Amino acid sequence: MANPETRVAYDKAGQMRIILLLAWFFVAAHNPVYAETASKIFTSGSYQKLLASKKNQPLLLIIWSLDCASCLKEMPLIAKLHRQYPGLNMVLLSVDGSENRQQVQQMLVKTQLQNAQNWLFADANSRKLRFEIDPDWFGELPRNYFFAADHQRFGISGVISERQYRQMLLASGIIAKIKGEP
Amino acid sequence: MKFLIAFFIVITVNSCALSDRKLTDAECENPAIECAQTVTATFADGVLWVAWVQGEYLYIQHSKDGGSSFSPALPANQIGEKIKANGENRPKIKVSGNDIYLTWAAALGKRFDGNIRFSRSTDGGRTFSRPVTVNDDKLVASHSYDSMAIGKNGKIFVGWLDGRDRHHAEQTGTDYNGSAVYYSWSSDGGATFAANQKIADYSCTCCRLQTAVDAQNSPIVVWRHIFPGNIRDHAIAKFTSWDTPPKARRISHENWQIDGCPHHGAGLSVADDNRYHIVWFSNSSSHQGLFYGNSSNGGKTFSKPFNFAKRRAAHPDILAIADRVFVAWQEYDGTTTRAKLIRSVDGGISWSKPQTISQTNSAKTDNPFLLADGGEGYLSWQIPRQGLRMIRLGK
Repeated sequence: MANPETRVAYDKAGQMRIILLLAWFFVAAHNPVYAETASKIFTSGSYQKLLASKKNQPLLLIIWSLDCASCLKEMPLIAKLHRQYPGLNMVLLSVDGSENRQQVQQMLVKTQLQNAQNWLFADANSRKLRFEIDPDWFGELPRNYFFAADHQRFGISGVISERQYRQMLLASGIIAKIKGEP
Repeated sequence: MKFLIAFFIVITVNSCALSDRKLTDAECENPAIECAQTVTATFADGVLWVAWVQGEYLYIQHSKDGGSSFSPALPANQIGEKIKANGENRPKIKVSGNDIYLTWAAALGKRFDGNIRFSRSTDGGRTFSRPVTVNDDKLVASHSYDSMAIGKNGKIFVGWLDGRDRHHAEQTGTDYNGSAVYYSWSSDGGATFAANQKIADYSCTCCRLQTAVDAQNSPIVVWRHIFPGNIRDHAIAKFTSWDTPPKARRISHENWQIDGCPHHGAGLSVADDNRYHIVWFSNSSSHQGLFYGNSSNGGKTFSKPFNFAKRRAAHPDILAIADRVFVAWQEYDGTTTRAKLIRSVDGGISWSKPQTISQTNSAKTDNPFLLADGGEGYLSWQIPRQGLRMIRLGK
């Protein structure tokens, strides 16, 4: 039979563990760095890794910035597509830099895109990172890439209409059929 | 022998002074021009003046040796404020006699909001006046991308991109695409400014504005406009009298349809013969890259645009000194950033082949700019964390 003193000590350790676990959850839930929905940091080599992780999958890549009024205008439509096509293979990439991660997260929450696959440039507007994505992209935003399953891609600059979005998603195989109003 | 070794060490150290050593975060805790993301520079009577931002202050320095050494960094504003100092939207500095004029865009709470600020020194740069706000609408709205030009008798022209009309439209639920181009001016050396007036509705919101005063003392303004159908090509407005905003004219027809932010404005220089020389960027389906055009009739018509650079070329600037015209821009190939140059000696009719004037393995460079010191042309190129390169262009 366990020594009563040992049993008390065990209970205290168990309680301590529970308290620590709760404290950790509390901190994690309130700290955007640890929150599950915070953006992944995009650095040199991330583009290739991202494509490799989506091998043989069609993909929509949306590049945006807090400083781009047209990008913010486009967010409600993106959120709508995200809702309408639950399996939509879509990645959002902000060029705002990790120093702006909190504001980026706030915008994603505001536009209901915090649960999408979000990435964030490590360095704001990095020319090097832009070059790795597309040497012929001049940096204008928003910039959308539609990848077919074989990762042949089509890049478009600027906001496009909902109808055009759905058509391009269909043409690239990112969606199988058009739902709802075009 | 020891002297020889010391001599060679000194030479090597000095020749490395402007090379690729990057200042650290610790070194950049104190204001230093090397640490600035962007630098605005101007020559006046052989003296180089620079303006750059660190923290919440706009620092002013001058150099009597073309940028090799500078006076101590003096903050123009005594009270800190968030000052926009990025590629397209940065403070401006102009020198007029013994006066120095500054404009900048101060950011307010919400991301796109801001005010156009003005400050001046009347004692050759020793002290600067308390900044005033040039936009007179008293709205918390977007006011930015200021540009300043000095006319005869020291008249000051200030243009900027203004969001008050969009703000009003949003309140009434109507659509308003883009910003508006507004201006004001001062005929008393910046002590007071005229009531703001609008030059045009529907300019691109994120591309740098250009202003100049031509040889007949007429202000001109060049901006990226939003033509019907979201076509973002460039426009020009040329004043006849300072108090009457003129009609805008279209400069070219790349027909770049984009509902987005190019962050890519034009370059403008007026030659002594009053020819207007302009460079700009386009990425339309039919016209890609950098373009040059000129007008000899006050902006009524322009020459057929010359597409002088295509792939990976960006952010051109231009300088006309009599018949000599210089055009500079930047190219990045994934490893090296190059400042490139073409020249004309016949007022922009024919051009040399592009040459690389300067290069760096840093991917984080400011845009290259062209400055005149009397009849001499210079390339000014800030490499953040390394320093400001000033390169004489010669004939």
